Amino acid sequence: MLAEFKGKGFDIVAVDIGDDAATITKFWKEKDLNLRVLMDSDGKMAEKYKVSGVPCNYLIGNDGKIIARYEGFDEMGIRASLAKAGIK
Amino acid sequence: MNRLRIIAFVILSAITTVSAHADKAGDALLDRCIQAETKTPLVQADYSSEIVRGKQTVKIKGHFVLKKPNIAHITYSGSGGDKDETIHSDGRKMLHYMESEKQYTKESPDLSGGNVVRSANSLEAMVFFNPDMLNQFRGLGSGLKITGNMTIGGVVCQTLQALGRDSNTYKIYIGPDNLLHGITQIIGKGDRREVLESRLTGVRTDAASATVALNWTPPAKAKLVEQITYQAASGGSGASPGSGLLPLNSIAPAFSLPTVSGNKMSLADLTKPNKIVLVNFWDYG
Repeated sequence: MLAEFKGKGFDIVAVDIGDDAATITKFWKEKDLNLRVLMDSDGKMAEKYKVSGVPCNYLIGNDGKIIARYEGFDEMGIRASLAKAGIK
Repeated sequence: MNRLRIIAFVILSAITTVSAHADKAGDALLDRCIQAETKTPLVQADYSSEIVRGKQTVKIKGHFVLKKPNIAHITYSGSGGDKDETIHSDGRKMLHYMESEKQYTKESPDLSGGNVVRSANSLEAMVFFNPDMLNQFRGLGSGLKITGNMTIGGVVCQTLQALGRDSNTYKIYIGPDNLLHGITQIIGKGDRREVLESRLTGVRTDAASATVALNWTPPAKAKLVEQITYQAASGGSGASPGSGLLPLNSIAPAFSLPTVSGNKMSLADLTKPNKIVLVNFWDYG
């Protein structure tokens, strides 16, 4: 999905809650995923975003406002929101 | 209803903080209204509005049943090409049915009625679902003043008025139940002058009479044209809708976190070069 929309004004960042760099690197290598990962080691960011379960996704516009949020990974929903914002 | 939408939301953008001269009685009345709107779980009323922009006039009539946090049954009919609509949110989905096209759209519900408000273009509905927004009136140029009485549908309401810049005028009408019964907005000058009058009559807050409307389904022949999902109804670690993510349109909390390679990255670093950023929370532990 990132490959499809990258460079069209859309980016994805993963936030890993509570794991260390070694665990994260190992996981991403195993899964052969190429995503930017931020480490929320103490879970403070997850708390700020009121994340109560993973996966949890927020779509944020460049004005810093929350456009949509999903508990679970709702690809259809994300695609609909991107289409609404003119990213195709 | 795009035209209406613009006008209904002008009030939010037109608010300025010119040295407000607080009127204690006006402020107290607004407080009572915010409290009453917050405490009222359900309201139903007949709705009418008239919007005059230049030589154009759009009149709309309808009926509201609104139930916190995000349940609604709203029917509209009006002039201006926006005929007979039904907006129906049962807390699991929101349907927007257009009689003229025999079509409806479907969305997952907004936790605090946000998509009902967007579809309904009504400040009254916005106030019901988010009473705090009334606080924005306080920042208006002249501050709030009680300027008299106004009878709406046989109910004597107090008029709370604020004057903004460019002789913009905002009036809200608060009934003896301390609920909002109507709004007047006069914005702009000359060709750009817009006057919005909206009224709620027959306001009732008893639950029993509203149940029929809240069980509505679209006509069998109506066609679903577009499915919009703002939030997954299932998935994740058993998280259910309504479990309290941050509200839509609120400012996302700032962050600055290390990447695996040790560099710090902030929300602004991501949003600056992009139109939209997906922040995806995971936990592999």
